[in-house]
Amino acid sequence: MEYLLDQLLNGLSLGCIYAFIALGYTMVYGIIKLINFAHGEFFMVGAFAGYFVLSAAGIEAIGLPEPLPMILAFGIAMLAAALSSGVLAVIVERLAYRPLMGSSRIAALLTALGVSLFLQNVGIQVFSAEQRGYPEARRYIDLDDAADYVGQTFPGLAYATFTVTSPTGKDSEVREILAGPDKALTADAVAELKYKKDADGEPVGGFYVSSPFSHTAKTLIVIVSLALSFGLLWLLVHRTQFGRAMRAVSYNPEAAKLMGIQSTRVISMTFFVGAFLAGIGGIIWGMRYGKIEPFMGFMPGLKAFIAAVIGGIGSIPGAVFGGILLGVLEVLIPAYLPSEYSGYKDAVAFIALIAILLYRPQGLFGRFEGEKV
Amino acid sequence: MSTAPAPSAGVPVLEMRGVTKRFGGLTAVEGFEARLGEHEVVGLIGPNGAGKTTVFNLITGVYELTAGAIAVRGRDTKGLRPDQITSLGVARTFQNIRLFRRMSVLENVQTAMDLRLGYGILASVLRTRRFREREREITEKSRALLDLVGLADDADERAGALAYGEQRRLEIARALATDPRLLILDEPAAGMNPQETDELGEMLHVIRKRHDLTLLLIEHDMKFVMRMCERIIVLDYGRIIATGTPAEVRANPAVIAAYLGDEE
Amino acid sequence: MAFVLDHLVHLSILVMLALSLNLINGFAGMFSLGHHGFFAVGAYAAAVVVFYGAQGSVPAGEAAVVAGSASSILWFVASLVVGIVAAGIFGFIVGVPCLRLRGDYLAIATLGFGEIVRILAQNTEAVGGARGMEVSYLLLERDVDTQNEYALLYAILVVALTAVTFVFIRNLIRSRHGRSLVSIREDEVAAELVGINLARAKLMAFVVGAAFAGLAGALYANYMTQIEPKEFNLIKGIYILLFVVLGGMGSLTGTIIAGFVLYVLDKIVLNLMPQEIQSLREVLFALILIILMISRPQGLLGHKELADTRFWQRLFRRQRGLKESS
Repeated sequence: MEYLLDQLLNGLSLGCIYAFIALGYTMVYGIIKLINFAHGEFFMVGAFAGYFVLSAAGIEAIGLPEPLPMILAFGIAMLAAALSSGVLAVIVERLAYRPLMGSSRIAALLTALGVSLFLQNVGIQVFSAEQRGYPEARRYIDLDDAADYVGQTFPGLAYATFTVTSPTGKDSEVREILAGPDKALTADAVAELKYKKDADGEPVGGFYVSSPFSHTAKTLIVIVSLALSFGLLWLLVHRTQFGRAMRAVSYNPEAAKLMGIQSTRVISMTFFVGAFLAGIGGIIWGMRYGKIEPFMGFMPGLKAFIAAVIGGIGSIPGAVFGGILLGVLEVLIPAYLPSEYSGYKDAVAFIALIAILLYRPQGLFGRFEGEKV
Repeated sequence: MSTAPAPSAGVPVLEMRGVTKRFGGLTAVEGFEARLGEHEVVGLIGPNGAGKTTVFNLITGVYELTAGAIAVRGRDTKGLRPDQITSLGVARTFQNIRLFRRMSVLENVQTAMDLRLGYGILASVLRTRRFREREREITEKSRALLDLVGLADDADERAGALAYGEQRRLEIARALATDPRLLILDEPAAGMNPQETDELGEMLHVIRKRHDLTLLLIEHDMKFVMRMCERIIVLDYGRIIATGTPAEVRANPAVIAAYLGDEE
Repeated sequence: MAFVLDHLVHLSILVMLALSLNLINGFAGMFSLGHHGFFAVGAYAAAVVVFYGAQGSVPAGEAAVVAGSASSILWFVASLVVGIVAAGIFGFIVGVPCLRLRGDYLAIATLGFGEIVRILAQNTEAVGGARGMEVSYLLLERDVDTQNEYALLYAILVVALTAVTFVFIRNLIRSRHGRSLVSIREDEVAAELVGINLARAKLMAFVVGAAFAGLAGALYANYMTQIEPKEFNLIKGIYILLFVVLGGMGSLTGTIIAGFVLYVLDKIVLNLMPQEIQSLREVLFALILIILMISRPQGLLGHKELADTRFWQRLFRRQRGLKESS
């Protein structure tokens, strides 16, 4: 039962991130009928922007007893992530998509794939292809002071990272948990740490104490931020002039133009809002899964698109629902399959996609638009 | 290839009984009845939104019936796909012309001929004798049809490049290529000037004789309808409000009310 | 020599893929993004025949498969046939559900199928999992002494089969079958109402297109004797789609020309460039793709074949009217 609950929460937080990305997909598709494959890369750029802000803020050095600077740093990082994704999306739309207005769908789709590849590979050039660990709020405790903590428990985890050499002579970095909320730090553990070395062969000088947020709390934060964003987005779409214009353009671009709506500006703004959300998704992904790299956007992007299709493309609640459903399925199905099948996990989304397209092509929340004969 | 039943005396070309179509809560057509004998020319008129095109879409299988039954030459069309209904001998044109725009004029007609004059994939790929003979026959017959509608000189033109009136005629030629018994025309004279409309009327007479056709047409040009049709069915809000000869329909108070109401 | 021929083999295989994709995408107008999946099915099916069939049937006492022996040549032919049939069947399996989908939805569903094939291959131990498969040489052992001969043999074989593909698809297009497909692309509703069985025509396009992609895959597996699941990724699919789109959807000669130009630019010209530029290969590839799509979205030849272009007609002083008499 606890296992099920854990997996459910894992699925929920993955699903929320899908939802963050899917919202932008669905809005852009709703308005210009383009599968913007580059949307996953907006998500990636958001994650990197967050990474740089958090690193620059020295988040790893902020002491845990002072939560305020930490919250402030995360707030700024999130804003930076969202803004940089949003601005990038506006530039991409202006340079790559707008000139294609009125040309064939296949040309537009291929351009979108091209932009996606382009951003991934520019990402490699700029950030390098290597995976990076996401900065997290943690406290460093020097071994010299470690004696003061022996016998204590910690609200987060106390852990050390060091290098071990396998019998075949291969070095690899491991992370060993020394103590936690229900496990006190022992003198033996501290003593042993003195003999460990890091990747450069230097002795390990101390250990880390991670953020006190538990796994569950982190998941809750993800869910709450999605709920907040969704609420704000709903207000934006249904209660503002921009939202009305957006819906008008998506419903009938010709008529909207005749009514004096500047559709280019509305489209630009839609890209911005969609990518803004993807940027938030990016930083949440980094914090939740701890690793980022330039290719990180493609698969989640594709799956978020699938989520948008499942929910009914063009439908905002559909994107949220589809994202969460897909995230939960993707975690739960492999969790209950024998472990040798766990590699098929990535196929879940695609099978779900094909199933939904056959059973209900307009998606769960979509309207069916019949053709006029 | 399904061969249509031989036309026997007394079997109507088209029979519709209690035909009803609802879209969600909206009733587009209700209780539509019609019986078209061989060689008849019947007009279907009514104000905009009366459900005329819906009736055509039901006959040709584009829409599924909500209730009622449709029989083409005695054969119930329930559950048949549009292409199967076409092979029973029904062909149509569209209100908003639907040609294969980037194909040539000749190819548009050839495509519709393929239904009756088939050959297999291997014949295509290996260019067998059967392929060559069939293609020659298809091309000859297609050119003859283009000649009939006055487009013989435009055979290699792109269909989308034709003038509007020519496109309407090409649609008729394409419909004829399926070798129909019943030809249904959705506003064939729309957008034509009086002279073109007259020519169209003459052409339809010739075609009907030569191809042994029953015609069913929707048209807003009343003069054209009155002159062409032997019988007229008037539709309003999805229901038949009158049927009869042109003279009878013209004098029918319900029809006058429907049209006056429409003009207000 | 082996260098040039090796490129010729690779290019021909890509062109074979692109020609078969053009049948589906260009002529039938069904936007498929999963063609690399059919390629993978053909490659894996052929590799399985070689590995479990040819290598599995070596009698006890003999060391290994003897390349060039009569039985090896038979196994080679069998591997091609199985590759074609397997991919054709897969095309049917993909085609049936895709009948109900159009446009972007079809694109994303076929992309999903392509991904599923790769994920299955990656996780199935019988076909080597993530490591892929390694199989024996059947026609000729490739080593330092024979590499020229090896490349020549395959170049002739692959180019000839690509020519067969071209003629097959061209003949198919210029027949009632082709007319059905193009009419569906132009107006599905009107096509059905002139008596075309949509399901049959579309499935035909999927099965024939997939079968040729399967042939390409089977040739590829035999030539390389080593395949890995990660080769059959979406990038490969986009690469061949680019041949089709740049050449012009619905232009077979355009596909070949675009394929040649792109391949030479990508694999030959770029390799002569300084290292700094080479490291930007993927960035440049993507950039060129974007710029070409924006500047010429209808492709180089549009819907025309090379022989129908003004350039060609001027070159050979052929008048449009003369062609009609054929």
